[in-house]
Amino acid sequence: MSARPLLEVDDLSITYGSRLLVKGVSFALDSGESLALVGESGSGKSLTARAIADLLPAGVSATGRVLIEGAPVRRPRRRGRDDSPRVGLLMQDPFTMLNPTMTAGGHIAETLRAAGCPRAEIPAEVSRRLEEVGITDASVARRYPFELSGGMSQRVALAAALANDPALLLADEPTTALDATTQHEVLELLRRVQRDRGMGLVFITHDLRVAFDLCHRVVVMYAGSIMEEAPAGIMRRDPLHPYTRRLLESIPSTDYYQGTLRGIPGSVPATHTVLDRCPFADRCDDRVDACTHVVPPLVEVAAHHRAACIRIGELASKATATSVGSMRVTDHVGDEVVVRVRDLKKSYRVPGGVHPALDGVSFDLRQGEALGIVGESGSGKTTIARCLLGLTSPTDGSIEFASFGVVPAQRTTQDRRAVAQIVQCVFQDPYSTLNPMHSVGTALGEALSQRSRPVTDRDREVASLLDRVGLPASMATRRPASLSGGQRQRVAIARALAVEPRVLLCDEPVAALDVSVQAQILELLRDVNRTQGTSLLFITHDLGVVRQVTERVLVLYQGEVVEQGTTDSVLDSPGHDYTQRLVSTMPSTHAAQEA
Amino acid sequence: MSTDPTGAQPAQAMETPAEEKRRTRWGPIFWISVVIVALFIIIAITADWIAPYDPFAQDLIASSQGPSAAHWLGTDQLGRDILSRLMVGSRTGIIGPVVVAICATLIGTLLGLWAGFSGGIADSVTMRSVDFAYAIPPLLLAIVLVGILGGGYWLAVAVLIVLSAPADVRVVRAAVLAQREMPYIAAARTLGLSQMRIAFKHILPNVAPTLAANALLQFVVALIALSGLAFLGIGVSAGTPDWGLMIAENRSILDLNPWAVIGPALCITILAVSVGLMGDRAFDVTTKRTNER
Repeated sequence: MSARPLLEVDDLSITYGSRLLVKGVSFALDSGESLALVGESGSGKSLTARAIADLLPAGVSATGRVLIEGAPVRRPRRRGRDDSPRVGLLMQDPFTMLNPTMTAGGHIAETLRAAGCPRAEIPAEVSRRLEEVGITDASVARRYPFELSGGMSQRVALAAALANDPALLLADEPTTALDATTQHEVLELLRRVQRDRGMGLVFITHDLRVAFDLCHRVVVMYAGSIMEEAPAGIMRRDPLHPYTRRLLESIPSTDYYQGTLRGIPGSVPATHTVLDRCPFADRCDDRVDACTHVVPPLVEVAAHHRAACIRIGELASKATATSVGSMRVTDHVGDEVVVRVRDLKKSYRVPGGVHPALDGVSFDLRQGEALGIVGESGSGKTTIARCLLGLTSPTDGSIEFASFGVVPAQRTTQDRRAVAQIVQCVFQDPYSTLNPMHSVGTALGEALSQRSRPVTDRDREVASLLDRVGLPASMATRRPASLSGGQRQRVAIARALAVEPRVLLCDEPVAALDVSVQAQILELLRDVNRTQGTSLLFITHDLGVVRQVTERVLVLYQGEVVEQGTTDSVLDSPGHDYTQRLVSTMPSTHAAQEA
Repeated sequence: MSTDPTGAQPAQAMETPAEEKRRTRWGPIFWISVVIVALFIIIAITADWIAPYDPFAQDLIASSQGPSAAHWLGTDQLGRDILSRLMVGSRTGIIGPVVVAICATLIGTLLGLWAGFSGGIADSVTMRSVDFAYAIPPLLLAIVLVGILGGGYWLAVAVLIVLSAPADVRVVRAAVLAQREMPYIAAARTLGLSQMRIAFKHILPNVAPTLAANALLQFVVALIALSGLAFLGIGVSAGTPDWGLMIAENRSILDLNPWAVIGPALCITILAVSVGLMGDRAFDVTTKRTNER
């Protein structure tokens, strides 16, 4: 028994109909060990985790072996016959994971009962379990999920997942939906619980930095296959596979300004289209002919270090990209103030009073400047955007645009048209930013019709817009459904640029994109900012993005600007408590940054 | 783990390829319904030429006969040919409900867009009126109104339009409220597009499939309501070849020629079920396809 690993995954393949989604994945996990499955969307990481828990969606089937403590895993189908190994599951969205009609304590009690805890001991046990996840307030047990914050819900979900004392906990992006500071707390909690219980942890994430911080070992997946597997420290210092390297380079650094942001051109292919080759070959700089017709085997390159690349031997000596900060270029910033916001206030009526979403925010945005607005959800950063765009009316304060003047609180159609030519927006969700019923050409043509400069040749202008954002002109006839997330976001940027606005407002434009695509979009936005002199107002929670794209930053906390200054000074020496907390909780790619 | 897809409960909304196909394909039931409905429409248009007898021609000597070579479905009390009356009767059977479905959808769409977009008082007034209309039993109101005003078929149709439109108002308004918060609508507003353009070019295409499916279901409701009214002798004058009225008139000869009652009843049922199945299927397929976008 002792020689046996806690979890063995052996040649696990997952298919949906005739399509292969995960291709022969093998790895093992000892008890007390934590393993991160890292990958972009389409890598098959979540399906692998679901297969481990025997929770694959209907129609999706798995072959291969998954053994936990040497026994095949099976969900208990009938009460009282639960002799299968215990697996706990923690999912991304705490609000959909908890039953809205059950109290927090109810969730935990239910599992305790099923695990055979005597009825009389349940209340005491529930509060003990809540304490374990850092909830000391006993009243939380009686509250319903909608009465809890995101972080609190995730803690309750964790307590519920731990209630039957699982030997193995599967956590599928449990912190992705949370704010940076809350995310940090939940990760710390997971780390502590995992260590204290000596439990195995499989942690699924798209964020290599989080994986390095939390886990002992990291498995990098791409298009349904394992690309590289190594202890976290080794992979952080010395990634071998080209994909891992490029993925690491794609992460916008929080620590220094990068002259060029290198994403990975292209997007993740579907597993079943790359069965006879290296799945990463098409996007790889180090590709040779053999890469496109040989499947690279996953081989041990060093102790505990496996990688699937036929050129691993030659590439190992190649130095990883030098990470030296570059000088910022700021000569495109002018003096003219394009947007002047003074004492902006917005409050919402809530049961039992008024909730101030914005409490007197003032700032100037100059010609060609890139200004960041940072804050957690609920800090009011999106409310600023909505006020500027006229999607909501401010309660008080003034917004003034260059060449327009102060905008009235209630905008007329003429006001809207005029403001539209000054400020345009790129929204967060690439999947709903384009009208599903309109082709790309229709969407761009419509935007062109709102431009003040007359449009002479619409088709040519559409083509040149697409070219501007790095898309082929043939894209004009496509519907959004056939585009990838990154392509949709490019179209959304083209649509905004069609009007030739002076200000491009970006509301978390890369938050929903894969890491390798993020860098491409950020580089495009930086280019628009520098070469066209379009001012950027960049709303984000990601300090890496702030560092790379903006020159100046406002830190927003509970509807107020608590700190502002040049990006480098604010991030290097944060003054306000909140900023300090924010900066210290950002996971870093660099070992040197570890505390 | 061995493969065991059969015992697995769906952990999330994901369908097997076969299920997916079944939901995105129109399927045989839909096409059979389409053929049946098309037949009814063709008969309604060509009834004057293909009906074997004049539907009004009386032949008292051959009254209340059962099916025969001369009269396939027999005759009624006045010796009129049942088959011919059924064929001509498909006109009032189809036209009224079609008008109800189209007009109710149009009115409902416009009011729904307006209410959803304007919000505030306009929305409150519209929606409270809709609630009010919902509270009225349509058949009862039609009976009373047509009874008092003495109007015919078209008054009954008008009453049904007014009382069917609220359902569409609700559907469209709910869609507008849901869509209004979508980033692509925010983007359209940010572009400075007019409200009209946003309503008709951006929102309407996204609810059109639902509306079309809804219109088919309204046809069914209207068909049954109008037939019911005719059965009660309201909306169509005595002697008119109309399915509902025929059932009422021929009840007394049920034992002599049952087909005089079964015929029109079957016509109503088959047409209603066919259109209803079309509507259900159209709703399933279009929403499924829309969601995939």
